[in-house]
Amino acid sequence: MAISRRDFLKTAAAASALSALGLPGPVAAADGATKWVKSVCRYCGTGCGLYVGVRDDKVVAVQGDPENHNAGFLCVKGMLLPQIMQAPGRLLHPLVRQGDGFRQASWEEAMGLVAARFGDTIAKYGPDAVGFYGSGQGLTEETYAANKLFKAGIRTNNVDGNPRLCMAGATAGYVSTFGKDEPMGCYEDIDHADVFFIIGSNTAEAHPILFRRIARRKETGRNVKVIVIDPRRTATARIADLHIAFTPGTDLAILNAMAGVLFAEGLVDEAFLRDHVTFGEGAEPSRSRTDYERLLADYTPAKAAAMAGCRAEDIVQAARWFGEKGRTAISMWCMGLNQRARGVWANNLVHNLHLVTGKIGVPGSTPLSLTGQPNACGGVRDGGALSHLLPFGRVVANEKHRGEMEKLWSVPAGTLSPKNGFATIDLFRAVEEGKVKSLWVMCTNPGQSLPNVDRYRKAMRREGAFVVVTEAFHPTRTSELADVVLPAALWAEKEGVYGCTERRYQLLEKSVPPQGEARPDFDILCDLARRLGHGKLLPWKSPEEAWAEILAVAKGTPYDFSGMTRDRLREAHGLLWPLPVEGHPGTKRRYVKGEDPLVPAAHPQRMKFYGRPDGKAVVWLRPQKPPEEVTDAAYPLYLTTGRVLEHWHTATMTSRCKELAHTNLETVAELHPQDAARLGVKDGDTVRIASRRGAEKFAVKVTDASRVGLVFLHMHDPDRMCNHLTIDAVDPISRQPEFKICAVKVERA
Amino acid sequence: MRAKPNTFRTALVAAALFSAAGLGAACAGSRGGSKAPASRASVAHPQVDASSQSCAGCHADATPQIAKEWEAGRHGLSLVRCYVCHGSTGADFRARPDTAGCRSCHSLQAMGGPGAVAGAEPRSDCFTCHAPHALSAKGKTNPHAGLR
Repeated sequence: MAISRRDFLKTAAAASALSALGLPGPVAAADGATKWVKSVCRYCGTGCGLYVGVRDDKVVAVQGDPENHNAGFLCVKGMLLPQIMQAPGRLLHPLVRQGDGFRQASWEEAMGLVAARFGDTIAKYGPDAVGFYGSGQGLTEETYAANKLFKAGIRTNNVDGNPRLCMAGATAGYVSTFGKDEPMGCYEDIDHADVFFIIGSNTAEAHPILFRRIARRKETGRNVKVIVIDPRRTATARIADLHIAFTPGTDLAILNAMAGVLFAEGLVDEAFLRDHVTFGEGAEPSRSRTDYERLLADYTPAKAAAMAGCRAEDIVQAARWFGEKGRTAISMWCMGLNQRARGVWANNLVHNLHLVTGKIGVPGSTPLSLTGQPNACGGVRDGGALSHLLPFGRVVANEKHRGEMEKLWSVPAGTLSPKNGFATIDLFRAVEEGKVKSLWVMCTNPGQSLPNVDRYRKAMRREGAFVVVTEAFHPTRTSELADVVLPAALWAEKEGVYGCTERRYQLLEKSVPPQGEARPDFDILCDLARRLGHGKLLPWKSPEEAWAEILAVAKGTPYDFSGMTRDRLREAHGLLWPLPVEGHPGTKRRYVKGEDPLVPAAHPQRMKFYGRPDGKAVVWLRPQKPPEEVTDAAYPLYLTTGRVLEHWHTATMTSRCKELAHTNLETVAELHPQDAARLGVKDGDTVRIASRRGAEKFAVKVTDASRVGLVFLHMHDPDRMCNHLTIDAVDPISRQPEFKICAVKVERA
Repeated sequence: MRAKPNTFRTALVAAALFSAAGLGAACAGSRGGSKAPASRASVAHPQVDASSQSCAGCHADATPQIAKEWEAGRHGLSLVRCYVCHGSTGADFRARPDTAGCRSCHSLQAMGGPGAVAGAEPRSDCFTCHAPHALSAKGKTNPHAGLR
């Protein structure tokens, strides 16, 4: 009996996943009563498609979507998603602070209090005395609603969020080099890549499903080379043909030295340089190729290697593999480059490698920034929900852009403030200083995730500060600091769009009703708008209605996805923009003639970087700069932070899965055997690690995967927060903090 | 094993374990020596503080051959760690996982491929070809050919 592929997939899904998840026998049986709802994983920016299995209004299983980019695979976090829905600790009703604790309140009372405090603050101190702190975990419609309410209704640009801690460096890197944010390539490029250049990303743990695809390419492709550049020998380095470990903060020198080798050995693409590239320094594209080559001459492999504490021949080898003619090269990076005081420069230098070799815009060759959060790209970066942005490539500082948004949002000319709002660290400093008095925190956990976190935890509890947190769980390290905690619907309990790393937008359909009195953030924001007198700006009865408006706002921009109707999203297993008209298949490779509908067919070259006025990308001259804080006699070790496979962000969800709670949740201090010997500590001993900002105790794990002089801590543990120690210095361009590097001392506790 | 301090997280872990105990009683398996996985006999794993030590770390000593096979295989490479198939060391521990565990990642393969008819029983013979832990397939023909 022949069945369609779709029927087969549905049958397979219905008959399979339940018993895989440790669920009890009766539920585990295959049965026809389970409803399968198409959705997307809640966690990282890979954006794996999945089906949610629902029975009796409860999520009982998930199943990877075989028709999506993840080919049916999920990592363990995704596989265990059903557990978070019923987990203990779900917040089921509003809470209002009472002394050091909270008391239960009705929605009416809680929202009345919130609206009164926000209204009062605005009336007394002006709109810039309130702020919104969101995240790349919110759905696009939710983030859009918040952005519109605060920027067009309340009239403050104090709208920022977790992507400032995560992807701001990548955003500013893409914008400065190519004119517009977001990668031009796609996951499919992995299947065509001959060389993987992975720098500042532990893909195997932070993006496991992409790592699987890379490993598969390495296994099946011909002479595929994997280069991993990371101070630690991570799980990702296991598939590396070349792993370059280096002293933290010296990778700009390595990247410049690689570019120097490309020129010195004739591995550059002269035609591409002539047709597609210009050169710049600082903020101006006013340099020449000669200037650039002069800069590179100062970064010989030997000199860079001496700075970085690695081998010059490895730098040369990496450049040769990357530049070899006739072979493709894909670069991938994540927080190792972005969470740096010179993160934008580091991003620029990776782009430079692609631009000088012309390895861009063809299958297998692309600079592909990996994203941390599931909707940092779609909701926040694209949606313009940062303090200097407006939706879809527009910026606050541009009068024309403000005018466009005023028209689209039907508010009078001059409504939108021309002044950038506070970026994250500045926002929390403004709370500390009393400049921002009322703050709305949605769907994220700054009380754990901010660098130098003690300082900002104190600010949130400052007398006169009023903090509202919408959260699915309580307590979190942020909700415990709040004045009002509102119960938010979680993942499968609501509907909306996520946009992941590769410009792929996908619809998460609602699978089950919210638990208790929880409400979707979308509804809560619309309620707030009504109470503050801005109900007309957020008039929608459903996220679908807001989506129709979002399509209109995106139309005609370089992000144009106005053909992505709700029906299309329901049918599809992810769509990549630009997608300017209904029926358009989507765009795998942006800026490429013949693929990207925004590049004119008559354009004389194969690519057009249309985000730039001259259509050319910029090779930026960026010198090596040390990190903000370097080691010294008092603080002789470098601390770097990162992620593990089993947990995500601040573990508010993953810590509630029984298998994951058992595995790697505790942050331990990874030390090199030489450092451990010097300190006289062994596995399991406790050490006190202190920076100039704070201290915490950690158990020791001795591993030669670490580097001499380097301590690694993961960021997930709510009890032993690495962010007591991290530095809140920021990149002057992106305003992203340097989580990845600071100086510490380690003592036996 | 280190004693755990009473912390913010301890409450969460305790809650998770509590819920696991309620769900997982039926999932333990046996350590029997037969090749085909026996289902659901009751063998408990000693409770360990797995937050600072990994399963593979202990099993490198306790069952070195198995640890080596896992590490060298695709699951080892992709960090599909022991607990993914075997559950936690709590009540949901499964000494010999059945093929239900395979299906959550390998749905198409575990259903017998595109030729499967609607309502077909899921495969229960994954381990006939795929040796546990190493997981490399025996035999020259690939019944999953054509799948991604």
